[in-house]
Amino acid sequence: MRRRLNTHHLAAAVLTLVVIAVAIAPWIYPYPPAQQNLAERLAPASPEHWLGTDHLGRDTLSRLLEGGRFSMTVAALATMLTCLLGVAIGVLSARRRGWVDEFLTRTNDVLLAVPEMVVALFIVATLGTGFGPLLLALTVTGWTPFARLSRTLAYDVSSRGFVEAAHVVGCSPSFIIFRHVIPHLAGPILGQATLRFGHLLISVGALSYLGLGVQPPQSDWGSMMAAAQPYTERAPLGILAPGLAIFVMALCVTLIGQRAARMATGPLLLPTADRT
Amino acid sequence: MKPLLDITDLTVRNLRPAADGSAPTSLIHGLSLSVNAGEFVALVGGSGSGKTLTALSAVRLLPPPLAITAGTVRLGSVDVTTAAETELNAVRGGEAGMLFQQPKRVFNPNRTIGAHLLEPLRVHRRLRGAAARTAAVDLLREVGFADAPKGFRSYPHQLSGGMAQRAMTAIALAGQPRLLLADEPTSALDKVLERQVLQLLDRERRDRGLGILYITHNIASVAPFADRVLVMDSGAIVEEGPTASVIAAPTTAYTRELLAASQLAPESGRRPQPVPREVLTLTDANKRFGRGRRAHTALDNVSLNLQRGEILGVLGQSGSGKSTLARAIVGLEKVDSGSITRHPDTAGKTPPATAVQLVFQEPHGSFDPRMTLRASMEAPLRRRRDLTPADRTRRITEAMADVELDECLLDRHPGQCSGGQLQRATIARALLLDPTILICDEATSALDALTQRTVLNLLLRLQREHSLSLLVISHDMDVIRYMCDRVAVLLDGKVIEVAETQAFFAGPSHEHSRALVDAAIPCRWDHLRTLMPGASRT
Amino acid sequence: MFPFIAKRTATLVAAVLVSSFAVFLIPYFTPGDPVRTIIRSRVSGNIIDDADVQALSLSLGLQDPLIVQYFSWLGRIATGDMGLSHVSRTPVADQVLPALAVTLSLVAAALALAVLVSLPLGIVAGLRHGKPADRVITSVTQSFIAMPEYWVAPLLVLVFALKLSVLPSAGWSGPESMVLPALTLALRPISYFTSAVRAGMIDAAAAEHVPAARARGLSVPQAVLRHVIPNGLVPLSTLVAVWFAGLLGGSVIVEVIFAVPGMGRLLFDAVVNSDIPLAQGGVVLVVALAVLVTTLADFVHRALTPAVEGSYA
Repeated sequence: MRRRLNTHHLAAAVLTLVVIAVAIAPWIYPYPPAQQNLAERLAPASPEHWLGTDHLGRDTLSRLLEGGRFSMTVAALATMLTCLLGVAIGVLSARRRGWVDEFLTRTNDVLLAVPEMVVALFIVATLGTGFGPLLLALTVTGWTPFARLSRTLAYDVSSRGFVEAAHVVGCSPSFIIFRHVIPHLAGPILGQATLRFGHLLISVGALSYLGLGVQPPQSDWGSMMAAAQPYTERAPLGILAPGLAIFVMALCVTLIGQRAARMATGPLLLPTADRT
Repeated sequence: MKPLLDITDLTVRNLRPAADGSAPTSLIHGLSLSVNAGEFVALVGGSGSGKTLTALSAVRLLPPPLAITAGTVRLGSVDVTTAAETELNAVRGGEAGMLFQQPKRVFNPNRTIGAHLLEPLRVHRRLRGAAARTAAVDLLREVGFADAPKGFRSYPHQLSGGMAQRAMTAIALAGQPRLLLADEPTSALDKVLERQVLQLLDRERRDRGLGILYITHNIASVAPFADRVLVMDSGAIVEEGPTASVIAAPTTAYTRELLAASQLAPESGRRPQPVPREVLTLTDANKRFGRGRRAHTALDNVSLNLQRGEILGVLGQSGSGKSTLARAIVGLEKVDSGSITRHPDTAGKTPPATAVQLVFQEPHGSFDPRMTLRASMEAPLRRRRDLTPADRTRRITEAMADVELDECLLDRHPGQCSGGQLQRATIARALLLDPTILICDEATSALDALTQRTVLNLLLRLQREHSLSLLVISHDMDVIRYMCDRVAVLLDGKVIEVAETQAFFAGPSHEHSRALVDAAIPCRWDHLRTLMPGASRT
Repeated sequence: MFPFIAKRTATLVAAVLVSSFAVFLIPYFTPGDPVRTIIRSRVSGNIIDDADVQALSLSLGLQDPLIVQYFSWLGRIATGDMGLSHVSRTPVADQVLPALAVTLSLVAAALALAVLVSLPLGIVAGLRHGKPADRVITSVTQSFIAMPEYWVAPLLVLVFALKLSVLPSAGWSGPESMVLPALTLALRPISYFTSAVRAGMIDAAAAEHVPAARARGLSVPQAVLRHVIPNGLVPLSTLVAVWFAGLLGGSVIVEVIFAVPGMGRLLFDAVVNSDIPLAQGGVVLVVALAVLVTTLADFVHRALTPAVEGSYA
């Protein structure tokens, strides 16, 4: 079979590279990210500072590597949390049906209508800023797409003959859920998860940008952009670089996610005809 | 007289090169046929023989990359192969109306029947406004809508399969075509509805002098109506002639196969009489779905019993509640009231729930497409603590041999098996659980006629060897007659008649049963042979 | 249809009740004495005295059971009395309603723009499925999903306001000040709408009723106009409503960056300044409106697709 280099291969390569770079940031960054140098404020890109410096003379590249740690960790954790919660709720809905399903589906409908940002503001207003509230803010509304998708898929698979056949031949409920239902969900859910990771990365940045996410002295890509905004005209790199980082990361996971979702819904082996 | 449709040396190819770079395959090679005004021509063949492509070629609606590469198709005065698209649009629906296989799916679900009907009236007859509406309602009345204005307003999903097929006929006739191309219009319908649709088409043929090209895989169902039969296999016509002579004296093996497939002769040697001992009793079982106005009664005070070693047939049309009955017995549905009792065996032990097994209609649905057959078959055995892995393997191998399947299929995925193989594998999986009762819910309806017969014979042998009690649920009279000792007829969730099979077919007592039996008789070609010579149509 | 409407309306009411109850409880979860917080939102003037608090607490019914307090609070909100802002000491309603008007016009402009752009793009991409036009449209619009608004907005400002000086960089004064915020806000909807329209077109074009329409004598353009495009656009109706609801409060970032005096900005300020009554009024209004809009969209969707037996109904 011919192998072609596709966009999603490139995306996976870029993503891997950035994840590794961010993970080993403390050993590779050119300057300590917090080191100020007021003589070199808002410097443009140069051999010393590849991406210039910010309004306090801190090296943008170093801060970018450092800031990625927070954004990506929160986004990854929130993705996992929402995914687990959503799949559990969706499968429960589809398997139990009746009023349990009704209740969970209605809640989902309502949460879908409630703006995510409002809920996040609401939670931060109530519980204050910090890692925990941030994660909670993203999880409270974030599970709904997973629940929707896994409910639909689990419903679909539950009404397929082979699940009913498994009931009739006496397979255990856990066997049915873990061997028949969950594998059927895995592909689309994985696709959804990568898409949601990109979305959450942007949301984390948004909250930090508003000052409701990461708190100083820590920083992430969102807060870097907020700090650089007043100097957009003098040093556009300060806002361009972290924005580009979020954009590229989100784009990469989107491309990979779409590919995963396409593969998951691709044709299974087609039945052969009964001709003799 | 010039024929309405004249196809000469038609060749259809797939223009996309195959994966291995070989030349495009030819799907129809050098086919010729013609249909005259007022003539009913049946084009008969198995699946994949190219019958549908022939119909689509007649109006040049082949889905790309398929295309006509040689030959001519003349529809009336138009040469279809070379005509411009605008000219073809006038021909499609105007010269030749078309009926499709799935009446429900050929309607736009978001538009009313009326909206569909107005389209050909405007395109071909330039009717608009009130005049078009009147013409549309008249057409619906003509094809058998009792309340035609209501039919005009209704949406496709509100119609039954039979009515949808009638509505489609009205649409096909709206452009006042002289030819009707009917592509298996009744294969999704049961026999009673099939016969009604055929009668309708036959009437239109007489009233309007229509030429009809009727495509089907079931030679027996069209035989009473067709003037000529063309038998098609692998993209070519292998036999043709007047209906009576083709049926009475088929010249090719393929035609004989098709004829044999549409017949299930009653078994010669009778099986041992069932021991009068009940294994299953249903008492006043009731089941309703939904609430309020949309409520639907699936089972209405159903009482039935099944004897040990007996084959009981449950006969009913779609929607009669027969699948609900099967699902309730195996515990996939709970009945609202009444009881379903499994009786203890001679040793006084009540068999486990898995002693009642079910074979579903759709063979490809019964196995998880992601698992090998072995994994699917092994799963229920894993719960048996007393079986070692070696025991499990041995039992699976034995069961496969019992249903006459090659062991190497075990390591395949369902997608790599045929429907017949999977249906056998389903039976094997059921046997693994030492069942006493086997329920077959339309177990062979999705199979082609030849495979159907071998699976039914397999079931009969297994029933004898394992002394099973069989509950055969079907809408197919031939299957019931072939298999069963007793017949129960289900109508709208009620058991309207229970009788010995022979007595039932000799003289059903209920009016609905009579309609079922009457509709089935002309579908049996051995009866046909006596009917055909001289007796054309009345 | 009727049971469906009844069910949906009941859900709507339940949703508003539950979410507003959560909002009502905010003072009890935030730092500070809830009683003082509530009194401060009900009575103008300063209260320092514990005796005053006692007296007011009694006269305002703050000793009643929570559920009684909740319903009287809800009653006041429904009649337009949302209390006094802690910061500006003016009625919350006077701030919330103008802000809502601003946000409604901004969101409407953004979504109108998104629909205008994505309709032709989606239709072309769907009908030319797999062709170069489809690939270009799909990859460009898909990349919009990954663009953070807080990145796009400064870039737009940099180009159109600072370098070219053709549009104002911030503020809310006249139609030209709406251009950049609406454009920023429209990017992600464009991406989702285009892909929904495209997918709808592909599905609709593959449906068996399309060749059937051709067999009745409809030309390709007639079949596409009557049976493909209308069917393919149905999913868009729901999507637009969901986005409309989402952007009512989801325009926070854009409103903050462009200094638009809308709902998002108001909620943000309320949170930053711990202005509890303002936050309560804003959130209740936004959520109620959002749930209402999506419910209405469900009715519309239902009317457009008569065959749907309601997988959620």
